[in-house]
Amino acid sequence: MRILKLASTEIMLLLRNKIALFATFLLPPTIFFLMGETFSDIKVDNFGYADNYLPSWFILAMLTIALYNIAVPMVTYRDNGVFRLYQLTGLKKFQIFFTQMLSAFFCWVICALLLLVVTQVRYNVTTPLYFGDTVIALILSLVSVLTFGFFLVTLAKNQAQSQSLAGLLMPLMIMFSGASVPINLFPDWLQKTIKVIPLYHSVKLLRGVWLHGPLANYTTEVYILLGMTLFFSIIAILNFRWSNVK
Amino acid sequence: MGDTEAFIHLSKLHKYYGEKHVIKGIDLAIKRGEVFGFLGPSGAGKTTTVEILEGLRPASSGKVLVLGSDPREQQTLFFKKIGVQFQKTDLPPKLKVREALALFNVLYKNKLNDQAMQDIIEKFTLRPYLNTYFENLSGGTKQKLILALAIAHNPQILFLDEPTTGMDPKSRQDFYDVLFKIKAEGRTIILTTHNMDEANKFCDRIAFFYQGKILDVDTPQNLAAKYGENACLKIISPNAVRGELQALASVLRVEEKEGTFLLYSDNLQAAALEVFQLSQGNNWHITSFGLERGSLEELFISLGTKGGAKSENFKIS
Repeated sequence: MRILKLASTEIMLLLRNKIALFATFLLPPTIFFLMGETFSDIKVDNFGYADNYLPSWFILAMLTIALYNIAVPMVTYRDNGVFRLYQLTGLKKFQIFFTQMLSAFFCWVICALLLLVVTQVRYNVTTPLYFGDTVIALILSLVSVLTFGFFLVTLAKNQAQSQSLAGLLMPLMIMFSGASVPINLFPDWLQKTIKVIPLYHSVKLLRGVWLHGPLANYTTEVYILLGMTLFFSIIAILNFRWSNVK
Repeated sequence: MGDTEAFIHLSKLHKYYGEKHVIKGIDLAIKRGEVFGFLGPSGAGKTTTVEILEGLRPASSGKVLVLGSDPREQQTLFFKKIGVQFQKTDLPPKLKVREALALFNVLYKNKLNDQAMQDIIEKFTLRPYLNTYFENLSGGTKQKLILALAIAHNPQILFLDEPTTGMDPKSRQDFYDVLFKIKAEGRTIILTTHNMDEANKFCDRIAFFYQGKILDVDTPQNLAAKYGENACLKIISPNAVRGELQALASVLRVEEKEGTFLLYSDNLQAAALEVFQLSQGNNWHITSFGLERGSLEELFISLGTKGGAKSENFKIS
């Protein structure tokens, strides 16, 4: 009951924030549409832009939510004493994480539906061959990207740092994860380097399973994402602080 | 626990931040129903001590008992028994007052019915702001709301950490009105402040914190009597003569700066009468006349030199 109340409050607060609303729900479908129109003639592996990049825009929507609906607000709550007030109500760490996860999941579902509407109306994208595997890949990607958001909360010392971090990571991830620019355009050394970017593996897994499947062909990515999720979660839980007061 | 027993008990409390020794062996006992002030300049150790009492910070050594148990043990249960208003707390900016009350009602599992909620709204005069976003509230109303949230679950002890810092006088007065209502309920309140007037207004007893120690604990009246020489008469006059003021029987010392005279006395009432008589006789033009309190810093310096050993002699009451 408490988690539901808190999660619904978080969603309500997001809906009241016009900039966050635009960035979370409307920006990904809008950019996807613009990119789709620009690169409509380009084919990669016999698939058009929309087919190739819908899975990666699902991932980018996750990243936007992880950065701007988890990392920045959580650091702000820590800075402003909101978490301290929550702590005094007897809420536990895991309940805070679960609440944020729940509201982030809701936001992502809305964003994904909007992306699907755009792609179906304009581009008629390929349906996943292995639907179940694609759902598993989506869930795995979602959990790993969202826990990355929790991890960032522990890195940022204050609200300003969290915003700078988000502002730095967002374009880097968009450019170099394969989510929006084909990786084979990069020089060899860069192609090898970008494998350290967490989002790269989510994009590779989801796109691969969606277009080529099955999940068993992508065990390396599955293990990497599971490892990342575990690592990010442990760091986030161990280093979670209710307040900035030392 | 009986009424006469200590509700809060600190014994030989020490706190270190790394090498820094910030709480240096505090002993203190606070009784049920007391409004107890933690008074002292910034960095004196008030907030650290309060946070230890709230169970939010561990002590380095010493004994801490609040409501009969260590606040760090069974923390969730302990939190239900206390209400806290932090020095600097915000709620999400786009949260309305009504929603904040409803949210914390669920988070605290208060299950307050409509009538109880209405009573809180009335007590804290929040009705005009129910549909106002937190970001649009004045500083005083924000603090009233935070206080309402802190007290809605009917805690046994209420901690207020410098609740009026940064408020304008009107907001402060509004906040004081609410605080008087809470005090009248007989609740145990720990008020941390560096505002002497605030401590005088609300506290049954005050502990003076200075450099990690408690220098003295007493009622505001007794403390004023003990350290009252820090207060003085302040007169502004273009033609008063320092030598004549200094010669008055009740005046111990006079300081003068550009027509402003500070008169120190151990009997301020008698000194005031003498000054009036003298000014009338000499036809001095007095543009301002009043009681000037010594600054808190001065008082603490005075306590530091005269009363430094008192914490060692202080008996737990």
